[in-house]
Amino acid sequence: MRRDGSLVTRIGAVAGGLTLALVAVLGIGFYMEQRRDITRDLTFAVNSDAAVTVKETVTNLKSLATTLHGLASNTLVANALADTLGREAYLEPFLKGFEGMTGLTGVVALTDFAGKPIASSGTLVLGEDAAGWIRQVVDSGEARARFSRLNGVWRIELADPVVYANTGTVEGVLLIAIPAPEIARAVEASRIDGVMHGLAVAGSEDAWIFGSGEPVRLTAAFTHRAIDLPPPLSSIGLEVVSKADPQLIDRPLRELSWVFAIAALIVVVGVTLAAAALSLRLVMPLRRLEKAASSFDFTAPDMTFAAAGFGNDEIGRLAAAFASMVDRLSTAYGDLAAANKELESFSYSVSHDLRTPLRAIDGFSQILIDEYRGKLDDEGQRLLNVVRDNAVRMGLLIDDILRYSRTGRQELQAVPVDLGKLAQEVFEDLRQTAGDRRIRLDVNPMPPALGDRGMLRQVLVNLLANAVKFTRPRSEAVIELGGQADADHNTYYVRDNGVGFDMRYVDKIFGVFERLHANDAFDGTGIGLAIVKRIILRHGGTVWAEGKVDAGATIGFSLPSGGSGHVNQ
Amino acid sequence: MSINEAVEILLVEDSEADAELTLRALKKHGLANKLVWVKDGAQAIDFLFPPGSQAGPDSPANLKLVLLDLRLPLVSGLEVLRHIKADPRTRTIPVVVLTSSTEDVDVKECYALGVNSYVSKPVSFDEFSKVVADLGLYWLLVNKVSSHRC
Repeated sequence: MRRDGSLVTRIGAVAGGLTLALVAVLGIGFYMEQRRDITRDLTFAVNSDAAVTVKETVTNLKSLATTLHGLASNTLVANALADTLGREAYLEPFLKGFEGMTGLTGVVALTDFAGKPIASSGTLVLGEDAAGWIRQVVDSGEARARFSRLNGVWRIELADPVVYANTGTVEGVLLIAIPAPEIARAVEASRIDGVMHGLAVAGSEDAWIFGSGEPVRLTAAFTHRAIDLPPPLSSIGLEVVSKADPQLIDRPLRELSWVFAIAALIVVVGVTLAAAALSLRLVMPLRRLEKAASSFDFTAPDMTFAAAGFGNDEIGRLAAAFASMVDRLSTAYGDLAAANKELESFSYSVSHDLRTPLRAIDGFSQILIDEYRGKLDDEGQRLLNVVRDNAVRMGLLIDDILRYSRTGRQELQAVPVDLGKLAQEVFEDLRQTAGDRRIRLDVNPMPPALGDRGMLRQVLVNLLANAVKFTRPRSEAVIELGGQADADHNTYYVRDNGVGFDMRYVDKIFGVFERLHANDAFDGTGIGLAIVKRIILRHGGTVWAEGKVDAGATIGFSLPSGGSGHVNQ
Repeated sequence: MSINEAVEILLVEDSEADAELTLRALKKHGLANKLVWVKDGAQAIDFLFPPGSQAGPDSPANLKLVLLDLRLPLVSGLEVLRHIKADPRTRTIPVVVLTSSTEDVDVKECYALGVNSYVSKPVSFDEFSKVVADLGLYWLLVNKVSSHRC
């Protein structure tokens, strides 16, 4: 099993990922809601605060109008119109005291109908349009208010007709001109840090901050609130403009975001760890099973792993099923081992018990020949020799069948083998037994084989021995060995120029005790190629044969070429 | 069992035919004069370690060679071999396992137990008698030389 394919990491990652996604969605929702709440709260606070400012402004302006009206109605003021001496004596100091009464810095003046000052608290400068406006005040006999802009400075002008009591006629105008910043200065500044309220002239871009009177340029960031004023002030368009520092929303949001992010991180990490821990609990029994499965030794079945608590859930049932399967496999393995053992003991019996009588047949025939020679004629002796030959032959057959059966059971250890070199060694041995025959072995280049050295040697012994045997009629025997590398197999061949065989019987050539030549033509039991086939098949390869009567034979075989480990153990 | 004094070869073989062939092969080379043939492992052990004789086998001390078959009734050849090689008094007696078995397991086990030779009995009598004679000659000679030296 690959460790990187751990269920624990996968479940942990999935749980962590899902939690992260959930937390992210929650976080966005939370952020939006908080933003809305904070904005709403701030707007509410700003509105309340602005309302206070509006009220104070209105109060101030109303008080100004009331004071002015009271002054205009004052007999002393009206009297001063006629009393030129008294003007300086009391009216001007009186007017100067007006400033103290209202707390506003401005100019209060008593003018004639043309706006010309009769008495003044300071220097009164009026615009060119002032005369017409004053005329209206005089004509209507009612107080009026207006904005005027003089030399770039906005100011509020209030005018009240002064009625001479004796005649009941309007004899002059009491006028007050106060710079707009002065109105703003007189009102308390915003009570909220980061919030600014200003007094603005409706429709203009000029405004002044309450409390200080500092000018401020209006932008889109300001909210406008019209100030409703009673007559005569209603004719001047005044607004309270407000602006809140964006930080008032951003800072608490940022702080909340941090808190949320930390909480989210803790939750995500916690959930991930919890999921991993939980899945580890689930996986631990699986790992125990895995370990039990990979290390289970059928030769010494140990079922104690099944006793370990696996619970009664799916994993528990899996473990129980696994244990039951292992139990059945163990039984089957035991049966198989017993069958193998039986087979081995059978082989042993065959090898021992069949050979003993054969030896007796041969031995006593020989003794008969040796000791009763005189009493046996030639035919009798020949018959006894036939008995002996067959006894020996049967011994060979028994040896061969045992060898064949052992080939199927031997352990196989795959190593790289140089078949060319091995063939040379085998060939040298074989040539010793071939007397003075002329035999040549040509070894062509071939890829190294991967297989059990001993078994591949047996393959070469059998193939080369066959080649030596079936080339006996040739004056010069030529045996050729070669091979080539294919995709995932290497193929090899042994070719000879011997008597060959009939391709009609090619299917029989690898069979046990199958011989394509009469017994007396070439010796042998017919086990050689059967053993070759068995060895090659056990290596995961294939065998084939090609031949033609009297024109040589080629036996080929393939072996898996490394890496893939196709070797059947 | 005074005859034991002279015994040089102990043949442990259950097959009468094999025993006769072995005897003939030895006889042919004049090696069968002082041979005792027992037919199973129990008899072999009784001969080597006579019952009631606490002092142990005095007589088998003269043994020059044990020819041992592996497949024996009652007590197996391997067991006999184990007894011989486990006892210091008999350990030095050369034991040659003569068997029909060609199974590797036996070969390995016999050598593990300390057998001196392991020979698979050929089916052909000619080869068989040659093998037996060669073995007898070799081990009797070796044993004579070594016991003279001792």
